[in-house]
Amino acid sequence: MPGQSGSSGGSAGQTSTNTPGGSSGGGSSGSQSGSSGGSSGGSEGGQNSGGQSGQSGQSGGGQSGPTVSTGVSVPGLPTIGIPMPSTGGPSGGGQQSPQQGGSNSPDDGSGGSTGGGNSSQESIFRGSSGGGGGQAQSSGGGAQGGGAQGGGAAQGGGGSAGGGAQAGGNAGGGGAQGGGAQGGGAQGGGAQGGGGSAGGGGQAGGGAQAGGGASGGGAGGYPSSGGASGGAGSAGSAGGGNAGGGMTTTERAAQIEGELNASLGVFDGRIRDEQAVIAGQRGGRGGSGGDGANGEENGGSAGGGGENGKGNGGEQGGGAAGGQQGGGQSGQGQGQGQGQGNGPGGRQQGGGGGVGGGAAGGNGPNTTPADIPDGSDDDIVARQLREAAQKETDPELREKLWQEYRDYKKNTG
Amino acid sequence: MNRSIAFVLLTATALGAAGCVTHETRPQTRINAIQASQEIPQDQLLDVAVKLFDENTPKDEKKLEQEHIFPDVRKAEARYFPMQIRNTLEGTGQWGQVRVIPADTDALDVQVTGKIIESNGQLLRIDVTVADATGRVWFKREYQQNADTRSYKDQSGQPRDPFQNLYSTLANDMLAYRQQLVGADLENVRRVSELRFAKDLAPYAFQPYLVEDKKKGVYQVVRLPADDDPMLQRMDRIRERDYALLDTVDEHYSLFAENMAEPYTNWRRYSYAELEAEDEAKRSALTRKLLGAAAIVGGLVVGSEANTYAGQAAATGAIFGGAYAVKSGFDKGAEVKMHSDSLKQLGESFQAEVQPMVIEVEGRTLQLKGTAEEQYHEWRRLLKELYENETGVPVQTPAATEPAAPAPNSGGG
Repeated sequence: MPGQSGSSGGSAGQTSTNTPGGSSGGGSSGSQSGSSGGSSGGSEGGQNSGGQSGQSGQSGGGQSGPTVSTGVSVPGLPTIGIPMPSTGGPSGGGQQSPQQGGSNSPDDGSGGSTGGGNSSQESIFRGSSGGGGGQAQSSGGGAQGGGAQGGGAAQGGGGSAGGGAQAGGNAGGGGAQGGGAQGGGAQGGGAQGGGGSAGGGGQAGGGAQAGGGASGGGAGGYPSSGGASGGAGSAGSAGGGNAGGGMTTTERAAQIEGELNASLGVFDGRIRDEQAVIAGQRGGRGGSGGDGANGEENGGSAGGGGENGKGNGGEQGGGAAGGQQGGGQSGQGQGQGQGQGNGPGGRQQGGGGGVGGGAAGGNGPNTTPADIPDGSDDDIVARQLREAAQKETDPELREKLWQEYRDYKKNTG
Repeated sequence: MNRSIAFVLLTATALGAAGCVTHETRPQTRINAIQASQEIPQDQLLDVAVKLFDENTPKDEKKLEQEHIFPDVRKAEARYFPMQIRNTLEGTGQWGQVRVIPADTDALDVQVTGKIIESNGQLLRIDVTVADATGRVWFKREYQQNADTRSYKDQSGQPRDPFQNLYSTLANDMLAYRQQLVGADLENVRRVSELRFAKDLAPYAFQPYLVEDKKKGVYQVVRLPADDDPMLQRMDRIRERDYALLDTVDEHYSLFAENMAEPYTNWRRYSYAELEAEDEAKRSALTRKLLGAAAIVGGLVVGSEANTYAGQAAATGAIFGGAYAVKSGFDKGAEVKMHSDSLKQLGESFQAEVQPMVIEVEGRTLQLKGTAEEQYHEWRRLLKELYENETGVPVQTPAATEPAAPAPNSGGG
């Protein structure tokens, strides 16, 4: 989904923003070759290495952008580009960039998104790469980072670069990547290559992708995606594109593996929920679960206390239900609820849980650990993981699910 | 002399016809399933799947009525008997995991399938087939047992199942067959089971390891994947989920059987009593009619030949006694009908009680299977992508011909 990589890009950008290198990079590259300059700038912003690749990219890209670009995302790890589709070139649109550069914003943003779009098609992680684009957009809008990037990239605009520069930087991140792609593309597109590395900048965002960007190398790996996105995404998007396309086999395997793990995690959560229901029914049958009704009502309003629910409810199935709900809204009810629900219900009561929840309820959505983002840019898998974690009543398992979520976001970020 | 003998016989016959015939069921010797006396090596421990039985409900309404078959009761029994077999097998310690699984689910190491021929609380008759994952049929037998009436007289909380001897005999037969297999055979069964599961999820990767003789329905391992084969490791992880799913489904059936046990035992107890009474009444009615008729005929013959007053009187007595016996025979016929009606009422009442339970358990398991199928679909896709990514070989699997998502455990299930 669009959005995600984008965001990472954004963040990366931010990181890089502070980096002098970023801006300077932008400037310099900008000067080197129109649009490419921009991109390279981006890349540098992201990383020093970015700068390097950017340049090399340029040369390669700049002149024969459409064909080959070589990027060095990380010193010592050359990335060999594969002939890239012409799309990259055009978009490279150094020309576009200027314009965008000028405006710095929406256009870029859009560019970005498109990029994202493209990339998403190519990428296994449609969602994530796409996301990249998306974010680019937003960031673009927001910080212009997008613009920046865009700027960076496309704008090549040395000048813009400047501008970009800063935002630059970040966009960098995003842009960077994009850049890379484009780089490959047109002008210095190669440069972009640099961008690619910048993508690296991406790092910021997410190691993985960044990496991807870097390799940007993508350059090669998946020409179409890289190129495409590059082209399109004047900047940000490109980033997305690269991210998707630029992954090495290992990285890609890691990503798919991550998705598989996430899916298994979701499945585990469902099974556990189901087993909790069965345990609840057993408990209810045994007569211990009687409290549900009240519990649930209380719990419901309280938000939660799921945990308590579970703890207490252990045998009464009710707990489970209560627990889940509670979980969703208040994770902190844990210690407090003592499962006092008294209802005849039996099973759903979640009885005890309910009560506990009450207390916690007040605290609001605490189930979600502080380091977990708001989820607005979650793709399907991430959303499933998030939901599973929020519903999970077993603290240990919940933490595992959150960890899966973090890992997944990190990989797809 | 002859006349005297005839007189005595006639009198005895008439009296006998008018009296009661009792039918006593002798207590049965209890058969217990053989317990494991030593630990079985892990790699030779076979998992057993007991599939839901074929209900074998006649479509003919008359037959249903004549045989006292209630469709919903049969449905419940088709889930109940497998659970009793599962509990018996599990209690022996001779097997790995023993689960009750839906009928359309592929097997684990060993699968037990069954068909209910007759079940009415008085008699249980089932056809059972046991086979293993390699396709080898261990045996196919009909098991039959009259109810152990001590179970019906036992008013304690958990009386021994009146047909426990049947389950124990089956368990012992399975054990006897398994003991004929050598360790290598058992290991092979497990291996084939594992590869069948893997092949179902990723045929492109596991096809080469397993050959199926479609005529005989037998599977043979032709070579083995490396222990560190990443695809195999993924399969193991997925299979764990598959087991978890099967365990959950099994839990549902177990809960169902627990819920149904008490009313079912009561139904069988009353049904048994009514059937016994009905049989008794039928036997008695027939006997009375036959003997009554014989007495009348004998009386007529003796009367025609008797020259003495006593002889005439005896003949007359025999005729009247016979007539009375015939009449009481017809009265018993009415009693038979009364018992038959009573059985019908009992059956309908229990059917109404068990029907919602059957619907609930089927609903839950279907829902679980639906969820699992979605997950399997996703796992198939991810596995395919991983395989392609790792081997660089695109998998030629047209979506249309791709096997349907497995039911839990096929793997699937």
